[in-house]
Amino acid sequence: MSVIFSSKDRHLTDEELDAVVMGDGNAHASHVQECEACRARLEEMRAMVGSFREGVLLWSPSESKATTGVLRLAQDDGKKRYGWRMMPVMALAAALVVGVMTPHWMQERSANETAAKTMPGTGIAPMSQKRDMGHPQTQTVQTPAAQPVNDDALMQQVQQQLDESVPASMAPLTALIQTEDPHKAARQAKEN
Amino acid sequence: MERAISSRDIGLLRDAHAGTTELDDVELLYRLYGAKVTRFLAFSLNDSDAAETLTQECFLKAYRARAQFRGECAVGTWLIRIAFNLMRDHTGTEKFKFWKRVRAQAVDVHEVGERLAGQQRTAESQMLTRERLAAVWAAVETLSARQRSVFLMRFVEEMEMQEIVEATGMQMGTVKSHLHRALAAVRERSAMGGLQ
Repeated sequence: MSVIFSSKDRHLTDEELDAVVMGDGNAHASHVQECEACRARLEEMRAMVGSFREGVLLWSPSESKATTGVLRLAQDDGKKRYGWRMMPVMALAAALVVGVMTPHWMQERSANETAAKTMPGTGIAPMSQKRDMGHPQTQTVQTPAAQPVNDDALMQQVQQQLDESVPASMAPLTALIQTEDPHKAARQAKEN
Repeated sequence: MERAISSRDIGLLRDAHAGTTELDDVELLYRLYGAKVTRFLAFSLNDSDAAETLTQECFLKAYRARAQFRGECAVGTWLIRIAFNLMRDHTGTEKFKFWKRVRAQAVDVHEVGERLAGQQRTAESQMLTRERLAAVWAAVETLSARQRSVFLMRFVEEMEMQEIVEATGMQMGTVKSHLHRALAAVRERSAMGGLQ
């Protein structure tokens, strides 16, 4: 027949004492109050652990090194995060640029192609090609009566630009290109 | 020693609990909790170099996950939990083991003991302090990494048992078991040293 002792009848076991040290031994608190031997054991264990705690708290890492590392990593991470956040904005900006500039680029390209297909001797493309090249939003609808006038003005403007683009010293060469008969062109150059 | 908490620190904690973005200030966060996390890692791993590296990772991870912090626990507990998980994830890897062999920088407990003893008034109390610290450290060194971490959480960082459960993801019974094992080791060492 075994006899079960309560903590009031005997000293605390090591496990019971540990439970008190851990803060999990309320059931044994009254015994510790009354039993001087158990109280001494408890105080010694607390002193041991307390010394260790104070010692650990006194230890300090090389803070400057660690701080620099943490801040650098956070900054690097911030840059990466900022970069990711900026991607949709950059994509939108790219789309806007493409959307706005594409008609302009197409216009320029068509103009170049048109220039390449100019009629010999005039350097002017047929106006039927030019009418379809403007920006959709800026293109105006012309009435049939006004169209020939505008076409003539545009042809004159284009001719003038072509003439201005050729330096005076190169004029004889231009004349050679525009004329089928090289002797005739030479004569014209002499006359000029 | 831990520095005093300023009114701005209290503001940080309040705002952090309110779920705002005060945790964005990683410098302040580190200033408040850097020593705590590094200390926990250094004594858990017994390697100050590894502790510094993992501390950096800990704060970086906390910074990245700051939006997920809901203030359900103290900021310090949250950081210790991140540090504990990092330690668990990293210490088993071959890369970490290799790196630890190369760079291992054990914590100098002797130096700590001298500094602690220097705060005592009498020669006798200085010697007792050194012996107690050495005995506990010798006991802690015999523990597994998890037992050591739990011991540090409870008796150095003074975390509540429930906080340790939350930080480690262990069952309450497991936490208590680790603490009993640690205290038994401390008792054994102190008996060997004639302290009890």
